Amino acid sequence: MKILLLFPVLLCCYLQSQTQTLFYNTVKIEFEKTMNVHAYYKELDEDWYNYIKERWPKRVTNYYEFVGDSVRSIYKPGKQTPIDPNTGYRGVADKNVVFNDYTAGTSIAQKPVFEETFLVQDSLAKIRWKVTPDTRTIAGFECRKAIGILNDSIAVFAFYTDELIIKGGPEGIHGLPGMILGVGVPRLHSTWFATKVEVIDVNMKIVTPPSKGKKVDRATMMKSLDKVLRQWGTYGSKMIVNFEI
Amino acid sequence: MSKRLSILFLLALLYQVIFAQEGIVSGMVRDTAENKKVVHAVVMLSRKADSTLISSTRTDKEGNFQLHKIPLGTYILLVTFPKFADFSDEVSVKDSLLDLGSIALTNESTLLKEVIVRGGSAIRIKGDTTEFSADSFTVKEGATVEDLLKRLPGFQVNSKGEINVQGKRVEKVLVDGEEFFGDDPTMATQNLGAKAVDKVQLFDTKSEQQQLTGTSSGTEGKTLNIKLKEDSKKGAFGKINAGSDLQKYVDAKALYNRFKGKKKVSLYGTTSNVSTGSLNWEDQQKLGIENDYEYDELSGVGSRLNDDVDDFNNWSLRGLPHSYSAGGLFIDKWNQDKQGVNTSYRYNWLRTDNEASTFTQNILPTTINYRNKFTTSEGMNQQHAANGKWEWKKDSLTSFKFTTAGSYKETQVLAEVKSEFLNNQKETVNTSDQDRDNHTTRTRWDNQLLYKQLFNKKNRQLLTIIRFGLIDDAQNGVNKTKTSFYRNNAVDSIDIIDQMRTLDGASKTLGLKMTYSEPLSTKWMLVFDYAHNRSNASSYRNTFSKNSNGKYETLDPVFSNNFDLDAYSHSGMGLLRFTDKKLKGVIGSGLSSVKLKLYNVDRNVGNSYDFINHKPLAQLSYMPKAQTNISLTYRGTTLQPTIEQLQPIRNNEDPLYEFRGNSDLKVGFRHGFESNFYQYKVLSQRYIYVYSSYSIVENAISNFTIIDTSLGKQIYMPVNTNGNRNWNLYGGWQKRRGPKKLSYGVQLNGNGGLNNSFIQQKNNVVKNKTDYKMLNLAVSIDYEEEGKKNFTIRPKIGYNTSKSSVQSGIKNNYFTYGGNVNGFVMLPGKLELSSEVNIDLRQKLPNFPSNQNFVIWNASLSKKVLKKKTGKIIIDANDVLNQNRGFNRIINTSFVQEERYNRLSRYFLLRFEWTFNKMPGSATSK
Repeated sequence: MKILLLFPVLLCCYLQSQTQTLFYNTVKIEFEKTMNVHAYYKELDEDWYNYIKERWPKRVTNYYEFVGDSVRSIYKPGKQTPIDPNTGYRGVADKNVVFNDYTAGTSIAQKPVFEETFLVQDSLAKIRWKVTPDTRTIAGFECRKAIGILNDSIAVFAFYTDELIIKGGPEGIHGLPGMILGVGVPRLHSTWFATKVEVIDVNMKIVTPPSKGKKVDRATMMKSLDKVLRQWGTYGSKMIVNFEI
Repeated sequence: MSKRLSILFLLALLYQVIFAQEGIVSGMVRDTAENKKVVHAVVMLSRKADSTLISSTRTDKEGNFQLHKIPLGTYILLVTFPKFADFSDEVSVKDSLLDLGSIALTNESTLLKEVIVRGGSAIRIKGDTTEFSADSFTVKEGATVEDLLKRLPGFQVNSKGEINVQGKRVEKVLVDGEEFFGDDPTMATQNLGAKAVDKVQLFDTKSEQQQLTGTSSGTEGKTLNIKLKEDSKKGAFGKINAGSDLQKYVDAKALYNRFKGKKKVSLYGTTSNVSTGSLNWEDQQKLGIENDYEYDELSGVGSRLNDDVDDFNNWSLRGLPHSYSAGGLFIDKWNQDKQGVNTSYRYNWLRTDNEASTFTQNILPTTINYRNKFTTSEGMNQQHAANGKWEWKKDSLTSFKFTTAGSYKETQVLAEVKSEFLNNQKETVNTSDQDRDNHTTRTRWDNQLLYKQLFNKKNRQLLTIIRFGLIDDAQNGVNKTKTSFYRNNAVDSIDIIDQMRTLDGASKTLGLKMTYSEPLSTKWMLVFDYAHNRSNASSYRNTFSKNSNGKYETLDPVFSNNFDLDAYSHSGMGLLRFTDKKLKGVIGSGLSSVKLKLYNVDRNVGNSYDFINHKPLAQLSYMPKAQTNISLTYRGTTLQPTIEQLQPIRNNEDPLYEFRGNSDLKVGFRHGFESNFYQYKVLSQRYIYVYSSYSIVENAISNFTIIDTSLGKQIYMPVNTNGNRNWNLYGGWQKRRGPKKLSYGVQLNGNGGLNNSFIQQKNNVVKNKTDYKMLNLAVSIDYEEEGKKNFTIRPKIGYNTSKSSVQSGIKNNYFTYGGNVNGFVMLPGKLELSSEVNIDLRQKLPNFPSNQNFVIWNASLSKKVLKKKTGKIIIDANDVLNQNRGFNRIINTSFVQEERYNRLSRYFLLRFEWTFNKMPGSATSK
């Protein structure tokens, strides 16, 4: 009896999904960034890893908020995660604010780096993408996988969906036909995945560029970081990737 | 006119058509089944050569699309739309416009459903994971993971490296459970050596929802997890360093270290007559010697088990050394590092020859007098020490650690001491000649079991520590002292001591400590601590004079003391801890009761002492920004008298300077305040730190000195006093500016305070207050060109002042100057020259012998030799100016003392160092 009742409902749903897929122009997305701290530091410095492995958490999670449409978007720190009182771990490059203007092709990013806060004003990040046939569902959206190379050096894996007509993604990652809901950066042992997607009543008023910080372009910031971090040997040169994303 | 223009326009258009480098691709997307326009479909163009995405767009309301500015060339067109099959085709953009016409998409539901084959060829099934053991499948030498996968049943790998298992495509390749390895998942399978693989695990990829509900929709893909072998490393490391001046001095050491998997064996040996033969930190690291350091989070104090093992360091060396040492170490870990052992043994042998002189100025209420002491001594130390550690991580919540450390130490000192006591006119009051022969042994065994239990609730923790320790002391010494007392510059009387002293001591300690921490919220945490300790000790100290047979058999009861001691303590502590992103705080207190039961065996008298100790603690730290921290601490500490201080023991080892215990001592209490600030600016490379502390002590344990100026005898005993306080300050500023630039730094440190003591001269007791201060300032300048040259110049200046209330006219104020200069330069022919000069200049104190100035210059010249630069020839020049001597100056409440002793001065060594490093069969993993 129940099955009989359920059948027309299912059929209805099926037909609806078949005839019209809904597309959205504006979104508010919560991203969950997970960093595999142990794996990251193991690659950075084995001795240091042996010291921290008992003391630092294995994985650290942070939340970010992305609001945007096909013209502009903002990505900034979201809800706070409680910090473990027993650990001395402090995150690196986890408080970035990125404003992208897709029609003008420009980006304004606020990046706190140690004691300095940079306001990086430049064109959108340069990423070469290859789209693959692989798919995966993230936050209820079917996503297609793409492999990208950022600044000709850093590999990025991204999952984007056709159903959200925004060419953005977490941090400065962008440039795929649809909204990027999942990103992995192997060198940082970090992944970003959308955990919540809101498409109705999105307040676009908060999409304003950050204004605080030392105004620089991307090359200037990387040069001043490189000057200091290069002295730290391989540790520093691997560390620098954090600020490039 | 208009004709000309139109021709121009036509030409321009023609130019564009013929020579255009870019074109427009357009078309329309339709649904095959219903022949409807498809809106919002994604249309992408990827370059055929490298499949890089060049342009993408969406279809409009009419289903049309246009891609602009497409460089001429061949592309792959991809049209995607949710729930529809992808449309993909090769297109060539040859001229300015390419119209693809109508593109038809097919709904997925009309495609033939794929038949899902569920695997039956399991090698080992753990839940929903199929596991293949890599070693069961033979592959040729140098094979990659991909070659291995091809051999696994049910696996297919195509030319592109794509993997299909049991008819399903592998979506993800994990390495040791990590989602991305290297820059491309196939990189892992193609570059990782098959030999490095332990297991291949295959499981279904589930969505988060599926994982939550536990239901399977049957449409998931496959995930492959490649588990690497624990450690595919195997190898050996060794170092030999031998030096000699070809006459008198030898300094040599050899280290050997072999590891296979997690097993590691190390051996070392040294011989030297320029150092104590202890290994430096770097060598210890290489050998895997661990300093077992336990940090007590509650008290904020670190401690080491069997703390007196390290008597053989160069830092505390006095005299000229001659040493041998040898040791070995074994480390192993197994069961995925869940269990491990670390055992080591070492032997040290050290002989020192020393000539020391001590000049003491006693400051008395009415006068000053002097005591000068000259000692020639020969010391012989040897020690066997063994350590063992076993660790077991039972699971992610439970772990055990057992540590045991045993040592046997033997010390023999032969000393000849001459001393003189002078009055303020520098007239002799007494002289003494002493011959001492002392033999001491100490056997020690410490054990500790640590049990740590975590709980599912985060940060809840229970830590239990059980300790058990045994100490056995034996001492046997002969003391022959002849003291001549003078009156009017003539010997008035002679006192002779010819005695043997023995000590037989033993102690047994058992302790239990439990710490429990409970999180109240994400920010607040409670920590409780309870400890119980009990110890049983005996100390039999006897002094014998010679009997008529010439044997040391007549007991001298004045200097003999035999007692048993039982000590019990209970202590508890409670702390409340607050942790937020910027603010951290701790507040709490500890309370302990200590009961000492002393039983005097000689007199059959029991005596017991009860002490209550408090340990309040409050700490606040604030981090306004990253790398900036301000903290304030208050810590109260109880100062409990030691059993030696409480016992009415008399010791006549030096009959002119005798110690007596005081059974009336009360517990002291120290209030300590500390403040700390640091700031590190990473990008501007600036570092600032300031630390200051202040403490004031109630019932401080100080000295009561009874001086008999006519005989030149002193007796000192511990007493309680109030008003002792001191402060400490250090700070610094440093600015680094990178290679090839000068970096600067400034360091300041100082301390000072007020100490009280008592002096009794005849029947007159005077309280002596000493006010002291010390300030030091140093400036440093560094320069570095990596691998080529570097230098540091660090001049310093200091000022010391001290004033005693009993003789406020005497000021012991002096300046110190000097500093350090060191540098390194790579000379032509890859000769490395390094040199260091330490300059210590002190102002002379009135009434003390002169020359407290030292300029120590060390230099070394080396060249790397042999293939791969594994050898090194070194010429070492130590103390080129031949000025090195041991020196120590102490300014105390009632005396000022300078000590000089032997130190190895100028010598030259020709050294050869050879290192080898063998690591065959290392993993090919990157």
